[in-house]
Amino acid sequence: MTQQTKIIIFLIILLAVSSSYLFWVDAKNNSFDYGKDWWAVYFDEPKNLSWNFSIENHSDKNNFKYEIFDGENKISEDSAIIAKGEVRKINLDQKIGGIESKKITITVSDGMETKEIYKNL
Amino acid sequence: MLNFLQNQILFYAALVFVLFLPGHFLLLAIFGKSKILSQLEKFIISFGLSIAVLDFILFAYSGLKISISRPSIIIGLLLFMAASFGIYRFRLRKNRLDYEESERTLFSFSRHQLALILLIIFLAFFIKTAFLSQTISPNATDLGHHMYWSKWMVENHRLPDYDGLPDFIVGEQTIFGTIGILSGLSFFSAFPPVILHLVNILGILTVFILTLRIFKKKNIAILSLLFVGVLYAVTAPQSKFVSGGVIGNILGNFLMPLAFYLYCRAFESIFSTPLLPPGEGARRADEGAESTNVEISASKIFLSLAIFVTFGLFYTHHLTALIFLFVFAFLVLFFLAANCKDIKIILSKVWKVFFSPPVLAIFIGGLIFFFFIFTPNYINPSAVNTAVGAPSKASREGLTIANLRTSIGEDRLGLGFFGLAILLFHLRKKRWDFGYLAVFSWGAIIFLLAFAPRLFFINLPSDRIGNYLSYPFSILSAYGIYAVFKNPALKNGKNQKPFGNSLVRLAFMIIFGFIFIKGISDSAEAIPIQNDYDGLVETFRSSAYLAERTNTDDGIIKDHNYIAGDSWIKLFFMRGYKYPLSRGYFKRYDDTTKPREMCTLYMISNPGGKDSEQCYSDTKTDFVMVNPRYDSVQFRKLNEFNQIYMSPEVAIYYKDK
Repeated sequence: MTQQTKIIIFLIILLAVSSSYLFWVDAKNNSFDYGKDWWAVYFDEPKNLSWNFSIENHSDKNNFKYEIFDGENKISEDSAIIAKGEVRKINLDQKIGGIESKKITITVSDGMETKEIYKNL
Repeated sequence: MLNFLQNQILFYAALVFVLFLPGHFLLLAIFGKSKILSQLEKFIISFGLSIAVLDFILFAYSGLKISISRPSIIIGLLLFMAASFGIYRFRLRKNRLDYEESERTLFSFSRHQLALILLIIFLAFFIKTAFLSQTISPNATDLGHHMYWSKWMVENHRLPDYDGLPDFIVGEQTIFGTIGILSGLSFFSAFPPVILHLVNILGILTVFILTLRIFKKKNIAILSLLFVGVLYAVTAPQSKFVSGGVIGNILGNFLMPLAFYLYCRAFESIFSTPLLPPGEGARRADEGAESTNVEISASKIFLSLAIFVTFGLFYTHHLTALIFLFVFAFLVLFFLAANCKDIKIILSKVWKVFFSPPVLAIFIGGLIFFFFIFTPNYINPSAVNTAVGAPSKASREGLTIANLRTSIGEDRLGLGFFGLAILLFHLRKKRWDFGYLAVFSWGAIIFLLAFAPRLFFINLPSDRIGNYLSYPFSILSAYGIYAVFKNPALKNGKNQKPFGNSLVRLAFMIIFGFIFIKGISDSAEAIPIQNDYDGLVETFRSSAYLAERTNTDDGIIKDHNYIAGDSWIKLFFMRGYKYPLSRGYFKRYDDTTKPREMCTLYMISNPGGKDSEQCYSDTKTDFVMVNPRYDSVQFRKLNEFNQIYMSPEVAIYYKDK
């Protein structure tokens, strides 16, 4: 094997090892769950008057408590166990009848942190 | 895991097929099995030629209205390779270009030299990979902008039109678009920065072969490899530009040295014979017309390749192309001035080489493509006007020596100047050597462009030009340090020895140790501590949420100041380069030299204001993406905004139109 062949093979090996490692690191970084600690709450249909919402969990916490407010009045509450990486859809349209105020608010808590979403009528 | 492996195989297969094989087959067609190029040179040059070949195939498709798809790319590249192989087989029986034995031994290293080369290459990879492992994920603004157009190419099966924007050049997208089409990999994966990483390494290796060919000294080449590959291996324009997605610079710093290499190879053979010092010239002349013919033939071929790569460069990056033009123009004038006594011989040789079928074919073909088939966006009066003229901002008035010290490293700057001075001194005896003059022009002109842009009447950010200085100054540093410490016994005389060999070696070790530690510590300091990617994935998830629930009737605005990786949001929508709207950096709204629209500022900073109301109406914006830690209160106070999505780093508000 010539010296130059050795250099070229060495380059190819280093490139393959280096780029494979970078792909692997990126795959971890880009994962919603690996080494991450966040969760989100959102309305499934943002443009209309549907109250259905989802809790998307990418944290290590699993117990979520949610409360529904009609204006200032709490009209419903419940809890859900959601595993890391899971999206739980919560169908409120069937649970809630007429809304009296001009705003419906959903608060979700993991016991440490509370997030809120709302729609004005 | 299986998916990961499959993606890896697809990526490497696409990489070899697109970025190596076309250039490899082109070299095979031209040189066959000739030893005029070493294996290492063939390996490096194949990548550069492949980039240019790919560009021209895609431009031809564009001119012929052929859709750019997986089958058409594969067929186009296979046809090119088959044609090249056919030419190679046809020419097998013809005379081959070959070179002197001394040329063959140029790439033959001692065991120590080989070990050193491998060690330097290893260190270069190690340092760069360590840095990139912390910055590889799609976060950088520039890379996001570029990848939008690459993805546009994948989705629309044609070259991007850039909505008329002159800031983009098609060569910056063709590689990524093509590999994206062939491999099917997501643009949110590591493949774009990994390609830039490869190109960065190739640029470094090109400096190595260029230095070796010019100076014919292996130790200078090895030193240059160290200076450009290991010391300051992370700072701009190297790995920081890889992760930052400064595609034009990275590709430019590969194609420009490659073009210089090919021009040097083209002219070294024809200018060496008549312009050699007395005695040597006569010896070479005695070798007869046959060797001269071989040299002329080689010169024609190298010049054709040089012009081909130059067109590739002009299709890739306007700033690099402009710098190349300045350097090359100075180089030609300098060469003619330095050899004015031999100008007749020079012009007659150049005439013979330039007005030959292969050179003219490439030159005229390139011009036809450039002006009639696919003209880069920057070839228009307004783009030229912005780059030419008196400096319009303080940042364009030139860099100070202190700025340059920060930019390319104190020791590399000092040694570079030293090397430049030594080279100028040696040019008295090397005035016919195109390579020596090329390195001198490369270093001196970029320094002047960065230091005193008024001399050249250019109006461009000086720091961007200063970034180009590190490559020629690495060569000059290697040359300078070699000039001081070469063969100390000869320098001091056998009997005098004012500095014994061991003392010189000690001085070398101390100086070199200082440079080495400084260069390595610069890279070590640049490696960031583990980044937090929560914000980035939240941006991507919220963008996907909006992309699924909106259409082209919806207007969206997002914030550039506080949302991580926000320039990548548009890749989820693919509804236009300026979709969604973006609130830019605050300082930009106060830029008196470039007044800009204010709606994007008003709509997020003061959504309840009267101006803002008009802006929402005019732009038909109904969704707002902000970071709730900085921009939430102003929306919560207003009844017309619904808080529809909430995560720690991204909140989305909906305003019913």
